[in-house]
Amino acid sequence: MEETKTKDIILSVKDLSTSFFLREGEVKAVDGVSFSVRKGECLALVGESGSGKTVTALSMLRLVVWPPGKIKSGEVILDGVSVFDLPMKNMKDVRGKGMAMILQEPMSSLNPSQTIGQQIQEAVEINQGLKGEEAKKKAIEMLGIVRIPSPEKRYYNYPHELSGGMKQRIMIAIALSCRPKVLIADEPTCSLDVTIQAQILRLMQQLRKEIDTTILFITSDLGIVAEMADRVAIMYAGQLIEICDVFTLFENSAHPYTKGIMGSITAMKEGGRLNIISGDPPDLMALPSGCKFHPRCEYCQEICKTEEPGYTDLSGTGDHWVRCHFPLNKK
Amino acid sequence: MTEIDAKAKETLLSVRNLKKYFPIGGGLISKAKSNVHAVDDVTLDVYAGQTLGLVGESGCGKTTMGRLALKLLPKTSGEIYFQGEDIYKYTAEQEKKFRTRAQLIFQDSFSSFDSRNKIGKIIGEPLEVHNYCSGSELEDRVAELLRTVGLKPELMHEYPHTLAAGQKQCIGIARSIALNPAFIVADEPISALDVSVRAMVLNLLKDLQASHNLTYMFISHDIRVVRWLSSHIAVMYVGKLVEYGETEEIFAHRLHPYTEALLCAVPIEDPRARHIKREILLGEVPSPVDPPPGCRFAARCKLASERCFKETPPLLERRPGHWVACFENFEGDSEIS
Repeated sequence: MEETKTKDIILSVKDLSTSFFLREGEVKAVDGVSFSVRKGECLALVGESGSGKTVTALSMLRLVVWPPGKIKSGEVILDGVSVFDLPMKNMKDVRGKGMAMILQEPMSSLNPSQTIGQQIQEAVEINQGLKGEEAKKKAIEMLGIVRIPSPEKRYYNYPHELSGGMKQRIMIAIALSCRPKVLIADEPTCSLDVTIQAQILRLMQQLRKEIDTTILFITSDLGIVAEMADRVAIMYAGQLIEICDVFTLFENSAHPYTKGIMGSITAMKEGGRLNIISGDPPDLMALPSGCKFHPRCEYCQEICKTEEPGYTDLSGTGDHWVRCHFPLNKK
Repeated sequence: MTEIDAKAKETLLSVRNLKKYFPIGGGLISKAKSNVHAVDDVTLDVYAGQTLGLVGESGCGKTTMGRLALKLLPKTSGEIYFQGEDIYKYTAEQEKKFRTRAQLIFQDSFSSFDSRNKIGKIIGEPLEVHNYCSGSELEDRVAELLRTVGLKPELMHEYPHTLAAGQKQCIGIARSIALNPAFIVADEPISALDVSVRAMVLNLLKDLQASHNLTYMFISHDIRVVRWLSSHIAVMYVGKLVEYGETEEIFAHRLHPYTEALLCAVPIEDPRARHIKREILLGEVPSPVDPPPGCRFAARCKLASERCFKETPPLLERRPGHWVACFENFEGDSEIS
């Protein structure tokens, strides 16, 4: 899969494969994933649990732990630097300044024995080279940027004194303090209530305008995709099956799996019977031959059972790729 | 969406001024220091063969409400009538009967199963306990139940951990309908499931309602799903019922600012709708521990006046069949549908 618009690309992942080697066998969590992120855009990485979204992100940061996890092949190029070729000791410049990650569970990512101010300050000191009072001032400024009321006082709070939504704001402040080239947000709102989720999404939209960040947004919620993303990459069973802009996704998606999950949305609105993708999510230990989706696909043909589909460029411009023998998009 | 036949509007469950406080602090001898007002003066009806959607954020008391409706918790005060009888005044015999008539579907069915039991035993247990059937008859009934929820009867010889998440939820549903109940409380039955499986479980719930004439109390934080499944909606906020009525009526006229905010908070699944201006609710859900007097939503409400902080707004019928607890004459006008 080749991207034609190469000039704005800040991050590209090529043929990334990561497996976990368990006693029962190899789990191919990420299997030949390629995509690029353009400067200033928000690319949503969408898929169900176990589809390999988070492992893709962790692999990009070389945070997959051996054993049992191992990056088998692939290349990650961040702003011209090949991340996998760097010595491990240089990874600290990639993690943070290169790519900073906001995790799902803010509580388990914050240090309970340090004040939130100290934790933001640490990121400021390491990544922006500020020290002492200056760094503290910057940390307080960051608290303000993520709309924490009375930041001077909050600087001295411990994580347990804050609500879930507040903690996620702190995580965002820490990630942004690194001034990353790419911000990776891994389901940042999935543990939050819907009104708090709306606040965090609104905040991320505002920050995107204010500080022009590039975001890789990992989510399984299509509503969030519709609100946040410019482009979307859909994952299924460790593979990337479709990549397109957000409007194409909602109006002219091509992969039967994508079409299937999109179908549920309209039916939900209209109150009719919901579209069903028959069968169960794939078992990564025993993946089917050919197209990984074929046992659940209503358009399955003989070739789908034996031959794994390659990528087809549907747009002719490299903007809409699908991994299917019989794509469903309107021509 | 859901046609409501005036004749069929028979009340199955009525909740009247129900309160449930959980004491915290205190010990064996000392009195409780404070109380969590989990459910505070809730009054509503659930109609036979229909679905009441109970919606709200975490900590609003929706789960406690569901447990109380099944008499799984002692109440603090108030009454719940099931087919006209107060369930908290049941005799032992009536109670046993009630246990067959009212069932619960859990959010995470798998953790409600004994993982050492085979699926056949899990589904068949309620039938055995209530002496419905035994032996080969029991096996036939279990097979039939598995087929009803769209699974293969052979699965009864498997252990639950071998199943996918959606199938586990179906087993939970099969068990809950084993005794042919009239009333089922479904507590966030799809929130732990993936998108592609959710649709299957929701369709199943709707089909079973039609084929088994079930009445649901469907508890969810997702107002979209609630709208799809429910004929009536009850919106809760920190233990209080703030808005209650028929689903389409509530969607057409959002009379409580919180309902409007809840609707606005849900991301719209249409990238072309990004331009639609939506008010984002500020602040956070207050603590339910000894809440101050007045409307519990007042601190986050744009319309709140002095009165809202002093007096608790009563639940009043502002439009036919549409109950709201708000002093202001609010009606939501966001372009969301």
